[in-house]
Amino acid sequence: MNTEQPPFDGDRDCDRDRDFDADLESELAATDDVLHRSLAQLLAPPADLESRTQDHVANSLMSRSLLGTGADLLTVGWQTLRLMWSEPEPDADETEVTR
Amino acid sequence: MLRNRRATPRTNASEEQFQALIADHAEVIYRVAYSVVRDEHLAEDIVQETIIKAWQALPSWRGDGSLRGWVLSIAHNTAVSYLRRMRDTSTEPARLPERASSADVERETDARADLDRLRLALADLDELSRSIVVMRDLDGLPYQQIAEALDVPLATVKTRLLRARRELQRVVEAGVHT
Repeated sequence: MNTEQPPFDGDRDCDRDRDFDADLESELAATDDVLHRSLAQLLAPPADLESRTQDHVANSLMSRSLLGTGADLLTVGWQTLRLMWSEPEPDADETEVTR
Repeated sequence: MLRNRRATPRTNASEEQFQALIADHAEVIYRVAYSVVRDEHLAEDIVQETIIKAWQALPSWRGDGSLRGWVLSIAHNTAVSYLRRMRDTSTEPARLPERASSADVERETDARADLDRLRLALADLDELSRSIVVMRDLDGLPYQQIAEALDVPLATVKTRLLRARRELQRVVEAGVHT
C-alpha cells in the first residue's frame, strides 16, 4: 500500500481556501424571498407590542425605583441609629495618657 | 450605600430616548426572544426585561459597536437565561416551551400547515442558529455585529446561517411542492 503523502503545495491550498470562501460568500448572498416571508409571518410580534412594552416597562421602572428609594431610606436610617448608639472611640491623645 | 439607579425618564430628552429605545428595538428583540424560547408570552416578558436592562445600562454603554447589536446581545442572553431557568425548574411538560409534534403538521393541509412545518424546522435548529437566522434574514444585521452580539466567531455565524437556511429552505420548498 502506498502511504506516501502528496508533496505540500501551499499555493494550491490557498487557492482552494479562496474558492471555498468565495462559494460560501456567494451562497450567503443569495436570499430566498419565500423563506423570508414565511419567517416574517411566523415570528411576527403582536401589533400592540410597542405600546404594551412601554406601559409595562414604565410601571416596572417606577415600582423598582420606589422600592429602591424605600430601601435606601431604611439603610440611611439604620446607619444613623448605629452611629448614635455606638460607643465613641477613644481618641489618640487619651490612649497615650492612659499608657 | 446608596445605589445608582436609572428610573423612569423624567426630562423630555430622556423620554424621547426611552421611547426610541422601545420603538427601534422592541420588535427585533421579540423575534430573537421568540426564536430562542418559542413562546409568545415569554418572548414578551423578555422584551420588557431587555428594555429595562438596556435602559439602566445605557449610560455605561461605551458606544464602540452598534446599539442594536448591544441590545440584541442583552436580549439573547436574557432569553437563554429564561430558557435555562425553565428547563431547570419545570418538570411539567405543559410548562415547557411549545414544541409542535409531527402529527400537528400532518393534520393541516393549508398555508397554516406550511407555517407549522417551518416552526418545527426552526425548533429543530439549535438556539444559536435560530438567533443567527433571525438577526440576519429578518433584521438584516451585518455578520460582524451578529458575531459580537452572540459572542461567537464570524466564521461560525456564516456557516451556521448557511446550514440553517438550507434546512429551512428544504422545508419551505417541500411545502410549496405538496
